[in-house]
Amino acid sequence: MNQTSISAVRVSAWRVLGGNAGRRLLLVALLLAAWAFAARGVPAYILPGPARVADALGRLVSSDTFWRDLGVTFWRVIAGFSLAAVAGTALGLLFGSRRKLGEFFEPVLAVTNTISSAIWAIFAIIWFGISNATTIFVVFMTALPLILTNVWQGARSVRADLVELARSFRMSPLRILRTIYLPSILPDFFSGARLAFGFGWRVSLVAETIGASNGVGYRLRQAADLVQTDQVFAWTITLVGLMVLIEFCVLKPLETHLFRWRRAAAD
Amino acid sequence: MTDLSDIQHVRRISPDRQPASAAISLRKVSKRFARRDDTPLQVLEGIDLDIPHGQVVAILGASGCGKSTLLNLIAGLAHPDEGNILVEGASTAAYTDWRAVGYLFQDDRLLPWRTARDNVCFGLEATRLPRAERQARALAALETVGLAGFASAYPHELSGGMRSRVALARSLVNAPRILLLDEPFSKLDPGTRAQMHAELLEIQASRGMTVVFVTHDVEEAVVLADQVVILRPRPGRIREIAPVTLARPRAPSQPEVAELIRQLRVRV
Repeated sequence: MNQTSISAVRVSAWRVLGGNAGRRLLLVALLLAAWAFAARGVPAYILPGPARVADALGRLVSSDTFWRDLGVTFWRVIAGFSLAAVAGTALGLLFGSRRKLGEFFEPVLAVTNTISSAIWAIFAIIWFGISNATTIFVVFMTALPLILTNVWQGARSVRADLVELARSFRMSPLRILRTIYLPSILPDFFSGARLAFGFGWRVSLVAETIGASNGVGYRLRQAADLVQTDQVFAWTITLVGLMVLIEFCVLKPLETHLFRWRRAAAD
Repeated sequence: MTDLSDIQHVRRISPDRQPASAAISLRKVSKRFARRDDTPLQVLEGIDLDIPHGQVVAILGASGCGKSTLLNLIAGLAHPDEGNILVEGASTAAYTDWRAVGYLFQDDRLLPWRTARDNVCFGLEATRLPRAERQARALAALETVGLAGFASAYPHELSGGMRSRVALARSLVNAPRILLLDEPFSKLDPGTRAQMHAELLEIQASRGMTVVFVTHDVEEAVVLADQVVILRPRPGRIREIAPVTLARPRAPSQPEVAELIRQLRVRV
C-alpha cells in the first residue's frame, strides 16, 4: 500500500466512528476497559471494577437519602453562589465605575485570592458549626472573588461613548446602569459565574465532609470511613454526570441565547 | 417613506410653550477646560449666535476650534463658564423638554447587543410611553430612514450606511424640533454620505426641524446649510456668518456651489 491509500484508510476509519459522538463513545469504552483491566486482582476496597461500581450506583440511586443528599448539597451551592453573584456584581460595578475606590480596595481582593477554600472551611466550622451556613459560606467565599474580578474588569471597560449617548437622552443613573452597564458586563459576568459555580460545587463537598451531617460531601466521608470505595466511585460518577448535564443543558444553551448578537460578529 | 406626521402633530401643539424668537440663542458664551497642568484652556470665547426656527446651520471650523464643545453646550451636556444659552427661550439649565432636542453623534453608537429596532427604541426609554407604543414608533422611525426590513438585524449585520441610518432614526424617534449633529456621517464613503445628506434634508424640510451641525468639511456645510458659521480656533470665536441662499438640491458639481465652496475655503 502506498502513502495515499494508507491515509485514505485512516480517514475512512475515523468516518466509520461517526464523527464526534462516535469518538466520544470510543473514548469512554477505552477508559472503561482500562479501568476493568486495572481492577483485576485488586481488592475492591482499593479499586472496585466497573461492574461493581455500576451495582453500587444502582443501589445508591434507589436509596431513600440519595435525592435528599443531592438536593441539599445543590441547594447549599445555589445559595452560596447566588449570594456571591449579587454581592460580586454590585461590588464589581461599584469598583469598576468609581476608579479611585476600586484602586483603594484592589489589594484586599489580591490577598483574599491567596486564601485557600480549606481555610474558609475551618473558619466556617468555628463560626457556624455543623450547619447549612458553613457550606454556604465556603461556596460564597470561593465564588465571590471570581465573580467580583470579572465584573470589575467588565465595568472598567464599559464604553464611555454609550454612557454619553444615554445621558443625551436624559436617562437616570439607574436606567443607565440597566441599559448600558449590565448588558456590557454580562459576558464577563457569565464567564466569572461559570467558573465560580464549578469551583463552588467542588469546595462544597470539602465543606460538607467536615461541616455537615447530610449532603453529598457528608456521604462521601461516611463511605470513606466505612471503606466503601465503590460508593465513593458511584458518587463521583453521579457528580460528573450532573456537571456535564448542567453544562450542556443549561449553561451552553443559555450562553448561545444571551450572546446571539455576537455570533456572526466572530465570523 | 412614511412620515411621522401624527407624532409630529402631538409635539407641535403642546400648549404650554411660548413661541420664542429663535430656536437657539447664545449670548457671550465662553468655555474653559482645565489642562493636565491645571492651567485653563480657553475653548470658546464670547460666542454670540441666533439660530432661527426651521433653519439648517453649519458650524464650520478646523479640528480643535471647539465646535463639538459648542454642540455639547447647546445640548446641555456641558455648561458654559460665562454667558447664556437659550433653547426655545429657556436657558439650558432650566430647559426641560430635552426630548425635543435630538443629538446625532459622530459615530453611530449603536448598542451591539440590541437589534436595529431596539436600538431606535433606546431613544424612547426615558419616556413613560407603553412598550408597544415605543416599539411602534421605533418601527415608524426605521421606516422613515428606509430600514423597515432590517428591524430585527443586529448592528454587526448592517453596513456602515445602514448603521448611520439606524442612529439617525434613533435621534428622530422622539420627533425632535431641534436636531444637533456632530460631524454627521463623516465615516461613510462619499456616495453613501451624499445620500444621507439628501435624506436628512428631506426629513428636515418635511418636519420643519431646526438643524445644527458641526463639520470641518466646507463642501458639506455649503451643500446642507442655510447659514455657515465659521469658527476660528484657540480660542474658538466666530470669524463670520455666511448665508447660503443657493437653491436646493445643491451639488458640488454645480458652478455656483463650487464657487461658494472655493470662497469659503479661503476664509476658514
